[in-house]
Order: sequence, then structure tokens, then C-alpha cells
Amino acid sequence: MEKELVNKMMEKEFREMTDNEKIELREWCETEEEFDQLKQIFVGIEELKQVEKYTPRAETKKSLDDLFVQKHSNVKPMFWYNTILVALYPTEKPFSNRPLVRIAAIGLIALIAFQFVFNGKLAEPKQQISKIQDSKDKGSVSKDQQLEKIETTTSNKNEVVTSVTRSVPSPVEIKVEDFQMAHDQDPFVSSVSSVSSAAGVTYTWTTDAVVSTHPDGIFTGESSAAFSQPASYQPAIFDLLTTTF
Amino acid sequence: MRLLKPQYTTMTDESLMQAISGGEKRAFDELYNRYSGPLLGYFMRMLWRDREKSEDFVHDLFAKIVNKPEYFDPTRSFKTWVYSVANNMCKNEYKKAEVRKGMSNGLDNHYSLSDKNSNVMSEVQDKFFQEAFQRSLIILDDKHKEVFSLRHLEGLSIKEIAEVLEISDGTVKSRLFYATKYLAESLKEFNPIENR
Repeated sequence: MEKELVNKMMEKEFREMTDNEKIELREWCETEEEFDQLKQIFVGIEELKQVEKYTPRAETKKSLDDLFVQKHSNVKPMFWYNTILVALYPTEKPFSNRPLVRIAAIGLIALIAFQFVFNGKLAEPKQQISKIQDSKDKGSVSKDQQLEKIETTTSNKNEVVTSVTRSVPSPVEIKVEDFQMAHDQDPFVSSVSSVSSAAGVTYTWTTDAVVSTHPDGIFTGESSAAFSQPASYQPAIFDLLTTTF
Repeated sequence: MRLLKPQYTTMTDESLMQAISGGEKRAFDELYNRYSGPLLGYFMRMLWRDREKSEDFVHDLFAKIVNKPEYFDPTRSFKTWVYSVANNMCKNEYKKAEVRKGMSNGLDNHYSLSDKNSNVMSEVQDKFFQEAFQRSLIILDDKHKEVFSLRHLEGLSIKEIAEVLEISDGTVKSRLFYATKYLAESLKEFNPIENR
């Protein structure tokens, strides 16, 4: 009897069978009584299959294993390129039981836990730092109000930028922010800076440049810094100016 | 050294047999996992539910596979081959049993063995029906019993059974018909369907 017909018999009663199915069954049973007898056999078979699931004893397998090892003792063990992959990701096991998946899951959990635990602790110092910076910024703004900021720039030729910040009570602070010497600069006046204080005193000096010290501007080869002052501070200079012009 | 390790679970029975010939232990393990249980059940049904004898037969059959894998023809189906070997082992046992019966005092040891192991069915809901079913199967003539068992309990097709038993498809069908009718008749007194 075909499996399909047996399945139909298991699902239906005799009166539920169609005419075509009854024709197919005619070889096996014609009456309802015969049908039920046959059906009970198939039901018995199904129950027997459920009950009779045998597993040989472990000793049988062990004995066969020993026999196999004895028989193939001269065969060298095989080495495979994908041994580790097969061991970590065996396709015959359910997805959740594969070692690689489990390792990945543990790693992910550990990562999330690390983030969760340490994120708060790490964020705390950052917040403190930002608070300190904020307060510093505020402080500097208030300080700026008390300061007199003087910026001086040198001539375009020299491309030297010098900023000078001077506090009234404190000594002069000179901060060189950027210093660049152009290639085609004038060696005689390489860098000239001036500072004007609140008292009206202006200091002008040269930096790292060869400056002429001769009254007529003749280059003598010396390289010392020369500060200019108002003429009133050195009245003798008027004599020199008078003879010159 | 080979490039990739094979996935034994997805390999066919025939491929596993070839691997066993090459000494691959895991191929043998896989084949054992697939067939040891069903073969033990088959031997139990065919050998009067004698557990010890059935275990021995399973061992002997797999020992044959280990020692003489070349006996298997790779062009054939392993399933039909292994059941034909099992069936021949049962036939030999029947012959031995006939000889022992002739020499014994007339008591049939098989029925005593069957009764001793009948507690297997104790957990079945339709206990009495199941016991009667098994008893009827044991009493059934060997040639009908093997056909019925292979068809309905081992799940072999008519063609496969014909190959295992080396008989025609028509003979298989007629034996199957007779066995089914006989069992239905012998279990007439039970009607578990109406009781459900």
C-alpha cells in the first residue's frame, strides 16, 4: 500500500473517503469493518515506532571503536586546513550551540557590560575638566577687562607678527606667536616691532636682524638691538638731526 | 594533508563507506549513529525480541563494515546492502534455531524470551493492543514478517525491499498484503480506534 493512501486512512474515517479513494482501497478493504481493522494496524505501527527507539549499549560502540583503531592503526591522523573553523563553527550543531557564536556572544556581552559600568566613571572626570575650562574662560574674560592688550605687527616685508600683552600692575609680557622670515627680506631692517604703553612710551626694536648703528644708516656689520626713544628723552639728537637736514 | 575537512553529517552513506575504507574514524561514528538504532530495532523484531542477541548482531554487522568495507559495492545503495546483510544474518539464526529446536526438549525458548522482554510495552497507552500486535508480528511467518517490518517499521520502499530480499516487486507486494491482512485478522478482537 502506498504511503499516501496510508496517510489518508490515518486522517479520515471510512465514510469520509471519496469514491476515488474507495476504489484505490478496494484491493485492501471493501467494508467499513475491514477499513477499521486495517486502520488499527497502521495506528499500531505508528505507536510502535514511537515506543521502539532503540539505542545500542555503550559497550558495543566501545568494542567497535577499539576494533576500528586496531584495524586502522597504520593510518596517520589527518590534518586539515580548516580544523579550527570546523571545531569553532560546526554546521551540524544548532546555531546557538556553535562555539564561535557563543564566544562572540560572550564578547559582546562583556563589551556592553564594560561600556555600561565604566562609561559613567569615565564621563565624570571629563565633566569636571569641562567645568574647570568653563570657569577659566570666564576668569580670562574678566581678566581681559583689566588688561590692556597691545598688538603690534611689523612691516609686510618681514611678515613677523608679535603680540604684546601687558598688565598694568605686572611687568611687560612679550609673547611671540608667530615668526617667519621671508627669503627676500631686507637684511638691514628685518624685523621692527613697537610697543606702546599706557604711559605713552613706545619701544621699537629689531629681532634677529642685522641693523645698522651708524647715524647715517651705514651698515657696519654689528648686530645689536637698538631701541628708539622720543627725542625729548635725548635732546642731543636734535643736533644730529639739524646737521643732517 | 587535505584542504578541507568534510562535513560528515551531510555526507551520503556511500561516501561515508568510502571514508571508512580510508580509515576515517568520524565517518564510522556518523554511520553508526545513523544505523545502529534502526538495525537494533530490526534485529529485536526479527530475533524474538532478544536484546542480547540483537546487540551482538549489531556489533557483528558493524565489525563486518570495519574489517571488510570492500564488501560493499559503492554503486549500490548502502541502506539496501546493510539490510540485506542484516536479513541474511537473521536467516542464518533461524536455521541455527531450527537445529537447536530439533535437539531440544520441545520447549520454545523464543516465546519465553519474548515474554521476558514484554515489559518494554508497559508504558504504552494501549498496552494490551501493543502487546498483541507485537505477539502477532512475532508469530507471523518469517518471510512475511521481514517484508512487513522493512516496509512499515524501517521505512524501505517496495523496490528497496525487493533488492534487499532479492525477490521481485510483485512478490514483495503480495507478501505485504498477506502480512497486513493476517495482522488485521489476528487483532480483530481489539478495536482501539473506537476507544479513542
